Amino acid sequence: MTAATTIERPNRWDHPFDLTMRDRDLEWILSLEPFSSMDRDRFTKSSPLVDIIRNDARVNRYETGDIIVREGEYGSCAFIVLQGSVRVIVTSLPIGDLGGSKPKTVSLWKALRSSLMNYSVAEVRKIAQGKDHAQASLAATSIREVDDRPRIFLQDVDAVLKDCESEPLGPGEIFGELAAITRSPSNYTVVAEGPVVLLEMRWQGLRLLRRDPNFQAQLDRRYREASLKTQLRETSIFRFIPPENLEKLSDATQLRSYGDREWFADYRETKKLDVQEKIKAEPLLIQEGSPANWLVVIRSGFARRSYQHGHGHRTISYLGRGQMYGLQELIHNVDVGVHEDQLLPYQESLRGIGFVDALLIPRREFIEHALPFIRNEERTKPIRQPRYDAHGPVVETAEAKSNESNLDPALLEFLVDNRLMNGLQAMMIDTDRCTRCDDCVRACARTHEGNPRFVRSGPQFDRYQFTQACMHCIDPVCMIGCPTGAIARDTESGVIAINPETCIGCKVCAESCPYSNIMMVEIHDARGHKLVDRESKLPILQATKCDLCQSSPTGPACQLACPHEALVRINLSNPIELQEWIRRKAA
Amino acid sequence: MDSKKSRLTKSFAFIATVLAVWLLFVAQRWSERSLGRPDFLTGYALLAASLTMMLLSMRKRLLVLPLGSVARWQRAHHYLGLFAMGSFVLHAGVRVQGGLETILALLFWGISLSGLLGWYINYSTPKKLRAAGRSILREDIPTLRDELAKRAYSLALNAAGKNESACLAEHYMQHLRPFFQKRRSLAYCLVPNGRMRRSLLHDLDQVVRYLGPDGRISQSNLSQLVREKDDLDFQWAMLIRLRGWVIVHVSLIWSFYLVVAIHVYSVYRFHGS
Amino acid sequence: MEANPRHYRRPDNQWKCGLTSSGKGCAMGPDARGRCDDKVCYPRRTLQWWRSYLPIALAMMTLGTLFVTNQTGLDRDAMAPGPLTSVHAQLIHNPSDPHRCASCHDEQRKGQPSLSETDWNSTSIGAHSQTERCLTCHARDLPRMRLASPHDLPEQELKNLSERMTKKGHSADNLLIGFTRHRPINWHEHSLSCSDCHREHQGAQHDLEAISSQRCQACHQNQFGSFAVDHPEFREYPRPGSQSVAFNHLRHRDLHFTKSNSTFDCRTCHVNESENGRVGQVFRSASFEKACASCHQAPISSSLPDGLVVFQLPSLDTTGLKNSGIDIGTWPEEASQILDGNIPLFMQWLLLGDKASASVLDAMPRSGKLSDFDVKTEVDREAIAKLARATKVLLGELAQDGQKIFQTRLTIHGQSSEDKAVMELLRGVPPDLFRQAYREWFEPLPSKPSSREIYTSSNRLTPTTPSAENAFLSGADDLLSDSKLATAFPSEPEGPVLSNSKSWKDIRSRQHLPAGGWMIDRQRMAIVYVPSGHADRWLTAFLTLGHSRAIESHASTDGTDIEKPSRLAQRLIDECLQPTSLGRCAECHQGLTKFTSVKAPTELWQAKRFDARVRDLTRFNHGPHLIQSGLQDCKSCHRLHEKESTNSQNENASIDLLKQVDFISVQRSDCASCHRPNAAGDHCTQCHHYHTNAIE
Repeated sequence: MTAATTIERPNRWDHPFDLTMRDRDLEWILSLEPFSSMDRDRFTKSSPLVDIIRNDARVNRYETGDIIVREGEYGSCAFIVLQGSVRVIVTSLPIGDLGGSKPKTVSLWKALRSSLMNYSVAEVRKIAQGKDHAQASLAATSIREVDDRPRIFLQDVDAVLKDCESEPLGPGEIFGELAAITRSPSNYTVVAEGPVVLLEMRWQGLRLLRRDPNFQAQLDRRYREASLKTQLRETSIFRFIPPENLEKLSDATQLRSYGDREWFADYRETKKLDVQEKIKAEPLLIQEGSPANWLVVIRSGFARRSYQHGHGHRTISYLGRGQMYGLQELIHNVDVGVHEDQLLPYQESLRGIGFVDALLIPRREFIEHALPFIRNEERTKPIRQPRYDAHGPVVETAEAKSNESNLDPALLEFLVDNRLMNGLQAMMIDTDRCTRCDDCVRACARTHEGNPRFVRSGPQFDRYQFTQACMHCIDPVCMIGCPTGAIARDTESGVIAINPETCIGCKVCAESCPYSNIMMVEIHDARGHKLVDRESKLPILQATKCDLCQSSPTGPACQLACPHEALVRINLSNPIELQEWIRRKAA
Repeated sequence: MDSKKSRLTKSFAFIATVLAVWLLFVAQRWSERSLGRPDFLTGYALLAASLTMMLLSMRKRLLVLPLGSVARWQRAHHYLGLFAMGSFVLHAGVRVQGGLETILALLFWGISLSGLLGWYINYSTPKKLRAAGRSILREDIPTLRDELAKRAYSLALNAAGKNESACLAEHYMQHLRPFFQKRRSLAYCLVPNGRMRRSLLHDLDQVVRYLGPDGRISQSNLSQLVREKDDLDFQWAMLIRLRGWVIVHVSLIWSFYLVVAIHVYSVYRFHGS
Repeated sequence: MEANPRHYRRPDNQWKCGLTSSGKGCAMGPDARGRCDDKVCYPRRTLQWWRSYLPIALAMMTLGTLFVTNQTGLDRDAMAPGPLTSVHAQLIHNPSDPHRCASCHDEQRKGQPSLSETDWNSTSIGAHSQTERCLTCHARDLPRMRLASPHDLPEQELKNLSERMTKKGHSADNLLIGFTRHRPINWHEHSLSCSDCHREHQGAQHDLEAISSQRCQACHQNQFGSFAVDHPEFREYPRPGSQSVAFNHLRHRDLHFTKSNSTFDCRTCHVNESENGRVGQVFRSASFEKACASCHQAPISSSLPDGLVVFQLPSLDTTGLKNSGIDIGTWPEEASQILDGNIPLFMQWLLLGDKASASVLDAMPRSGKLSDFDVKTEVDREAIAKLARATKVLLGELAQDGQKIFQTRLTIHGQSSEDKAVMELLRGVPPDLFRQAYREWFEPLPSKPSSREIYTSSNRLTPTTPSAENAFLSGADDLLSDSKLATAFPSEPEGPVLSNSKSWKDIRSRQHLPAGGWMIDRQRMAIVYVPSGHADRWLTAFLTLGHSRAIESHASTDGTDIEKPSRLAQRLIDECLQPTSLGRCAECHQGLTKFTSVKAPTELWQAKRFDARVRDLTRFNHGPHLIQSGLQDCKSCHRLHEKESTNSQNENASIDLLKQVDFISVQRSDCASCHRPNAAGDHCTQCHHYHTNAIE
């Protein structure tokens, strides 16, 4: 039993993105823009440009009309046009044209068998033994992947392109990098017009490429333009604004980033701070009482809406991607038609929670170009009892303003402080119903080869425990820094899963997860022998986490298995939804 | 499910159950009158009900099957349980004669009553647990217990270091040590109570008069630890109860079906007509 | 609990690492078999382990205990669903017997409920086999018990019963539904078994015979809530039996008993403590001596003094005949005055028994009186002569051959059916009396009768052709031998000869035979039978025979082709009906005058008595009822039809006493006053048998 199978510790680039990449292709790629103009000395010894392209990139061919990037898709790759040209369709297409592919579920029979099976050892892996072996096995799989991925293409490209607005992209141009880097779903659809050759670069590689200043600059420029327009377009109340106005608007718009993009790193420290301290530590976007000159639109990350209450701040709500702040004040000022120097200032302050990426639209431009095109029913009501007027705080009229989702403010605070609003599929347990029977854990273990994927404990507010299971965050920080891209977001379901084939157990994800919902586990081979590193003789670990039972046809087993309806997978980024559930369950 | 709606469905289900028992009763009477075999009728109803209840554990294993949430099954299980009790009374009456039948009845009531008890425990305990503080995993409790014990020990040890309050250490060794080291008795698990907590704290307070300033501090820390330990024990007891009743409930099941098999067999071999 | 646990908790594991609490435990802990890679590992069982193995362990224990008890044979009683009733228990409780279950249960597998000798694919015991087992002991209680047939009655009988009741007006609902609409669910022909109603293993004190009314209603259609409400109203209960003695309670109470101002108490006649009848010590009919004699003895005996003339010499005008040239041989001068008298009925029967003499009766005048013969005519003179001879011959034969000749003559052309009746009639007929009579009348002492006469008289008549008769009359005499004569008549007996028979002439039959019997009436030149009183055997037999013959005549539709014997029988009955008749039998035994066939001759005379051994569908016992003070007066239940009393004033009100029922049927309400659920009870089985052996 003590006999352990020793293997070579897996390394970064053990599993290159594309095995079939030949040196000739490499030569050719390097001869093209933007690589040809890159300064190779900028790159480190450990990761020279060549290796980056060899390992983190792959060449793909697309035929006319093939959809390369689908709008709303979580991409983890940037695309660089090598040959031919593609069209970026900025107006959103009906999803029917884009063709949604089904989430891959195993057959009922297989699921049945595995759930009936008794696992004497947990976490059995078919881990590759040695490099060649790995290549052999993976070569096979990569080929299958190519076959597996159905190429959805538009029946009549020209027709589609005719009625919708699109921008052409030629050789050397790059797209999809925003989605890749900001771990955000793509804003646009990209279609191949005529046969094209693309270089797919996974975002780990992309980050390395940014060592080259020109490339960096190019990225930033595009980042501002492309994302900005689409962002504005995406904003629902702007949808009736004619393009030229939008143009003007976007020119005037300022783009600001607050806080640290890698917010989770110091989150652990700030978490320990006292609540007020915490808020103080947060980057301030807007100070309450300051003149309302901007309309703020959250691009990514989160912002906390709060107001001074006693000696502290009371959170009203948190703004996520696409939500805006200041609209009420601006519209109030216009509708009430007060005099220039009697304008109402901002009523609440806005603070970045960790990292916030916001658009600031100047007041005048907004009133001029945007406001006329906002539907009346979408205009906010005038403010009756202002907390601040032109002369400063209004004394003693300020009663606790109830937040939109009249959710208990304390709970709201709690969610924000623990960054729980990040969760799209968070696990919440009503401890007044939960009998600690652990059926959820058992169910999880059964659906995951004998080892559960979460621990039935975690931060608790009142009767609600926010259990330590992966929340499949809006902002999946765990995906940052995975050297092999083993942890990835499923493009359809948005579920973040770890691919055991390519996980090398580097613990990056486990450590970067602010909620420590990713666990490193010792793995075994089919005979139940613990796998141990050949040199260090240390057991080989792999990261595991909740995968929302993607493979099972009946969805998350934990929720299904709870005999007391105490457990729910819920979207915490939407307080309304949470409130709904709490109201229904409050019995 | 809406809490109001759920209350509605609950009462409906309950009425349905009672109705079902009543129907069975009517059927029995009818069969009785038309020279039928009422005992077979009720007997098989009972068997069917109990077998269906067995499906709950199956369902818990086979989650991949699209058969609705376990919660639904659990509810069905409860009402079927009530139905089973009803039909058992119809089938065998209240007092049973005959050796085998008596065993069978005992097993049945053992299972049923443990089920009812569990029903109550499941309903009441979680709230008590929440009152007892942050919810702790049962698996972690031994660890926490050891930690507490260690802390208490070191506290007492340090106190002993300062000669003035060696008596605190003595007191610890005499009274508190077993409390921190050992887990509570089964009796405590069944009826958790604050008796020991109170007495220990009281004794600790008696010690105060022999203590200097530092001693008093460590004394208060110690009494704090006592409280923590007691809370821990309380949670432990609660969790054990939550788990224990289930074990009792299921432990009889196979014996029950064994005797049922013999019962059915002998009935078929010996019934008059 | 550490802020963020470094490894998963696995509550479904059956083993946990003993070191976890000390923090030295490994992440995965022991595997499913409680093994661990680490050198130092202290696997501990988790609650999960107990949860999965305790049930199995307990089941094993149970199995073990059962097996042991089963091997040691302790389980035989344990297997029983409950103790037997004491009665059965004491019979088959023999602990040493391993197969005693088999005495009621399935045979081939010894009925021992031990798993060791279990044949799992065996079917259950058939209903019959077990019922048969019951009957091995209970056959005596249920003589006519049929296997699994309702009320132990064959299907046909049930059908008939149903129809009968429907005719009576019961709604078909009350009837056995085995033959009406619905059937019990497990009813395939004769599938009923004892255990359907008699449930064993209900405890030692359990009453096996306590049958709930529900059981009855399994088959019977209309559902009885309570006796008082749902039971159909009684129709003429108690059922009027076939009455043979015309007795009307009302008349006796109102007329006869009031005349003789004696109390009319039911008990004097109907209660008989000494024996137990079907309904207790109360009887439907009472004996003549007990009930009637006190009043009816006198009139009967007063009607008897002259007795019944069985044989009589017709008185003839011998001289007249002589003159007209007809010789009838010797004829006692006491019977030789004017032509007079008639031929007694019994004598006529005897004459009828012989072809030759039968013809004599035909020649008789319509009236049957000799005086109506017209002596002037040749024919009548001949007839008279024939009669005289036939009479002489008859007496001779009776004297000579005794009862045998009675038998031959009484039996009409070999009707064996009457034999019993005839024999009954013969019994006690004294031939010697006839011989005595013959001696006195036809051989007057001391003169010896010419052997020739006797011979001829005795012999010549036997051949039966009239021609031969004439030939004989023309007198060819010399065919006789003394030897024959000697046998024909033994020599004179020794001893004193009662010389002057004159002294006997004035003997009146009554004084001579106070207790009844046979005698020669020299006054009337007849042989007379004097009946002994009520229910005289010979007279009864005579009438019975007569009645049975009369029936035959009635059997034939119109009186035209009625045979002579029947006509005679008819006349006998007619005579009975005369108020002056001998014994005045028909006054009460009106059965005589009814010409419906009777099974047994006794039915003619005795009231039918119900057999106490017969189990009818309904049962009643006066015993417990008569204890009730309120019920001790019979009239509280048995009420008379009072309206009768009006026409009972005139004696000869023409009502058919046999048909009419002078009691009002008992009312359901009479019973229902006590028979209520929480009083005397109103279960079906209180008054109704399930197991019957006859329906009446």
